Amino acid sequence: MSPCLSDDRLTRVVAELGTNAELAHLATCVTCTGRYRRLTGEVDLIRRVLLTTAEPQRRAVRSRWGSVAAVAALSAAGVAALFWIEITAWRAIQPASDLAQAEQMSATLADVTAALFSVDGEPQVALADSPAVVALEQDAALEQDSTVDVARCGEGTGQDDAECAAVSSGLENLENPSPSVEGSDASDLELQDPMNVIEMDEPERTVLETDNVDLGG
Amino acid sequence: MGENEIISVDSESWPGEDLVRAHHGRLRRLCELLLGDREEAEEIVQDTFMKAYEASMGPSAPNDWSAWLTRVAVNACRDRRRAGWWMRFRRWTDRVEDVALAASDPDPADVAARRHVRQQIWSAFRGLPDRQREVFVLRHVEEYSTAEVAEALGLSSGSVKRHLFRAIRKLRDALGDVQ
Repeated sequence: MSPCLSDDRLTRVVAELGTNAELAHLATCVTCTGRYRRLTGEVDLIRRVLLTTAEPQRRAVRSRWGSVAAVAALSAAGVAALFWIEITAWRAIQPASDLAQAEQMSATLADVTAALFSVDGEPQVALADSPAVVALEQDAALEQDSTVDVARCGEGTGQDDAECAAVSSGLENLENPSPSVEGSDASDLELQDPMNVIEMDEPERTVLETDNVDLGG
Repeated sequence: MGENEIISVDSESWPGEDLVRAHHGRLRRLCELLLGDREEAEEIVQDTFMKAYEASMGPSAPNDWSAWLTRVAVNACRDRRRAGWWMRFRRWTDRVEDVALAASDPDPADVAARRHVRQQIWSAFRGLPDRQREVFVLRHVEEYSTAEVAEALGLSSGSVKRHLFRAIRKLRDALGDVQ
C-alpha cells in the first residue's frame, strides 16, 4: 500500500482538516508535495475565475423537465383543491339533505306501520274520521255554543226572543231533569244528540242528565 | 426616519463615507457571488449600510466593522435566497446556454478551452449548497481566516473546515471533468 496521500486526503489538507501524520508525509514526499501544489493551484484558478470573470449569462430557456415539473405541480394543486372542496364544502351541505331524507323516510315508515300494524284494526288516520270521534267533537262544539247563547240572552243584547226562550227552557230542563229517565242505561244516554234536545224542546232531556249518571269510572 | 434625515445626521460612532468607500466594492462582489444577481446584490449592500448606520446609533456599536458588515451581508443574502423561491425555481430550470466573455487570447482553441473551463467553474460554483458557497467565498475569495469565517457565519471552526472540504472537492471534480 502506497503511503502517498489520496486526492481526498490532499483536499482535506487544503481545507485544514489534515492530521499530523498527513502533514508530516506531505513535508517529506516530493510527489505528494507536487500534487498538493497542483491542487492549491486549481483552487487559486477557481478563485481568479470567480473574481475576474463575469458569470455566464443564462438564457431564459426553460428546460423540458422544468415544464414537466410545473405541470405536475399545477396538477397536484388542482387535485388538492378538489379534495378540499369534497371535504369541506360538499360535506357541509350533505348532512342537511341526509337529515331531510331521514325525516321523510321516518314519516313514510310511520304511515306504513300505522296502516299495517294498527292495534285497533284501523290506522290512526281512518280512526280520526270515524263517526264516534266526529260525534264527540260535535258534542264539544255545541256545548260551547250553548254556553255562549246563555250569556248573550242574560245580557239582553237584543237577541231574538224565541231563541232566548229556547235556551232558557233548555236550562230549565237541565236544572229539573225528568224522573222518567233515571233508570235508563248510561251508555244509551251518551249517544243522544244534545242539539236535538235544545232545538226541539222535548221532555226527553236525557242527554243533559248524563252529568248525574254515575258512569262507573 | 426619512432618508434625508439619515444623511444629514453626523455621529461620532458612524464612520460614514470612509466605511462605505472601503467596503462597498467588496460587499457587492461578495453578495453577487452568493446570489448571482447584480441588482439584488446592490440592494443588499445598501440595506447593509443602512443597518450599519442604525447599529452605530445604538448602544453597542461594533468595533470590527469589516466582520460586522460581512456577517450582516451574508445573512441578508441567505434571507433573500430563502424568500426568492420563484427565482431559484427559474434558475434551477434554466440552462446555461452561452458564455459571453471577452477573450484577449488570439488562439481560438485556447479561447474555447478557457471558456469551457470558466463555464464549468461557474456552473459548479452555482451548484454548491448555500453554506458551502458562503464558506468558500469567504475563505478563498475574501481570504478570511478560518476563525473569521466561523465568526462571520456563526459556525464552529470544524464545521467551516468540513464545508470547505466538500466545496473544494466538488469544484475540483468539475475541473477534473474539463481537464
